[in-house]
This record gives sequence, structure tokens and C-alpha cells, in this order.
Amino acid sequence: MTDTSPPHGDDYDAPLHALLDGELDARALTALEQHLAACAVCRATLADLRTLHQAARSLERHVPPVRLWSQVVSGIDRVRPTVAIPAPGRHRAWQSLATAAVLVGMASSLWWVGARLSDPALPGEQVARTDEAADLDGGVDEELRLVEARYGDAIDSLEAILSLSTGGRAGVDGTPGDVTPPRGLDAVTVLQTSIADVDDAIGESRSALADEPSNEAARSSLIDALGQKVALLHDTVNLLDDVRAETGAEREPTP
Amino acid sequence: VPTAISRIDLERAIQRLPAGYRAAFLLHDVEGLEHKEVGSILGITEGTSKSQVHKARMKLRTLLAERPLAERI
Repeated sequence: MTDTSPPHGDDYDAPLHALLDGELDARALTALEQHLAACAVCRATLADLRTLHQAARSLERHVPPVRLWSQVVSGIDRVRPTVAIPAPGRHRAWQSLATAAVLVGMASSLWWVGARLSDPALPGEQVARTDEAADLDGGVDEELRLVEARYGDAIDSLEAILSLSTGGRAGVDGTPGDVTPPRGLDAVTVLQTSIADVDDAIGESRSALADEPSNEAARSSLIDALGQKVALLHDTVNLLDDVRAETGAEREPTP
Repeated sequence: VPTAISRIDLERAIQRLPAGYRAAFLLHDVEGLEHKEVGSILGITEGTSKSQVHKARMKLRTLLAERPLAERI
């Protein structure tokens, strides 16, 4: 990379990035090209940004393209149609869409964050102990908090869906309620028991991390457990959807 | 004249970015998501995503320029 001189014309920073991203309209492009013809500093900046951009694109990608996920969601909807919902279960359509949206968002962000968290330290790391290095030190913890926050959002959303699906029979925390489940809900009870087990694992991992924040095993265990809880909640919601569809069809009054 | 950036140099520099810059940069410049998509995932606006990515790039440029040659080998 070329050496970076003191910032030149910060007014041109945004257009340079926009040019790099192909976001400039013709008029802005012309204006920027005229400036670049006369400004060596901005030309050097643009050259560096292009080199950086090219190098970034060569790094390993962890997130499946969003458009691919859209296709996956469409495929799920084709397999599990959510139309013609009888009145008592009318919210099933948005439940399925909401569940899909939660999971797509989770998959995209957590796949990437998890991969970054699990990256081993590069050999021979000799980072200078500057204020910027402090950002690095706190980065992993901050990303763990980000993971927890995003899992928490997903868990809250799925538990809200689950609570609606069971008409309040399930506890807010996803544990079984005190009402005997109707026929077909045995599997749901099993799933909810598993969720309780996972909650125990989450609690233990958090306790271990509280005692030893740098404990990699506890960190991995916590992330795994949170992921398992999201998956179990998702399975429970899906199963309840199926049970509701069957019982709803049986109860559908004859016109 | 800019030289090619090694993957290791870039990975190291990315790890030194503040978390917010790093997340937006990785999702946009590495993963190829649109700013709108980045904003949706990170819970920030499209404009904030752009700002974070721009600042990340400029910070990376500085970080990569300041690394002594001995550390690059």
C-alpha cells in the first residue's frame, strides 16, 4: 500500500467509496473524474481502496448469498404451504414467515460471526500495544455479546410464536405448561424438555464464562447451546404448526 | 504504487478494527452483501452501514500502510 498522507479533501472521501461500489451517477462520476485528473492524493487513495477491495473479495466467504436464502425460504414455503388457514389458526401464515425470517437472519449473521469467533489466532502475531490494539482485545468479547444478543432476539421471537401457537399453554421460556397436551403434542413436550436441558447448558456455560471470561470451551459451549435452543424452538413451532393443521382440518365444521 | 495485500496482512488488520467497523466491512466488502442487507443484519441504518464500511476501509488503509516490512514477512 502507498503511504497515507494527511487527509486530503475529505469532501472527496464519500465519492471515492461510492465510485468503488459503483454507486455514482453519470454526473457525479464526471465531476469526480475531473478532480482525479488533477489530484494525485485522491488518485492514490482510490488505487489503495481498489487494492483493498480486491483483497477483501478474495477472503473466504462464510455467509450464503442472501438471494440463495430467499430461494431456500421459497422452497420451504412450497413444501409447507400456508394458505387457506381456518379462522382459529389464521396466524399460522405469519408464524411461518416470521419463523423463516428469524432463522434466515440468524443463519446469515451467526454463520459469519461464529466463523470469525472460531478463527484461530494467526501465527507470529505481533500487534503493537496501542489504543487500537485495545479494540482488538475487546473485540472478541463484544462479538460474543453480539452473538448472544442476536440469539436472544431469535429466541424471544420464537418463544413468542410458540406461546401463541399453544394458546399460552407453554411457558414464556418455552417450558411445558401445566395443561395436558392434546393428542399429537407428545413430541412437542419432548422438544420442550430438551429446551429445558439446553437452558441448563446455557446457564452452566455462562457461569463458567463469568468465572473465566477467556475460557474458549465455555464460549464455544455457550454459542452451541444457544444455537441448539434456537433449533429446538424452531422444531417445536413447526411441529405445533403441523399438529394444528391436522386438528384444525379434523375440526373444520361441515358447511 | 499500491502493492498486493496478502491475506494474512489483511486478516490481521481487520482484526484490529473496532467491532462495529469490522462487522460492517466483513459483511459488505468480504461477503458482498448490500448496505441495506448489512443494516438489516446488524440492526443499523443503510447510511450507518455505509459510514462504517467507509471508515473501516480508511482505517485498514492506514493499518496496512503502517505495518513495518519485517512484520509482513
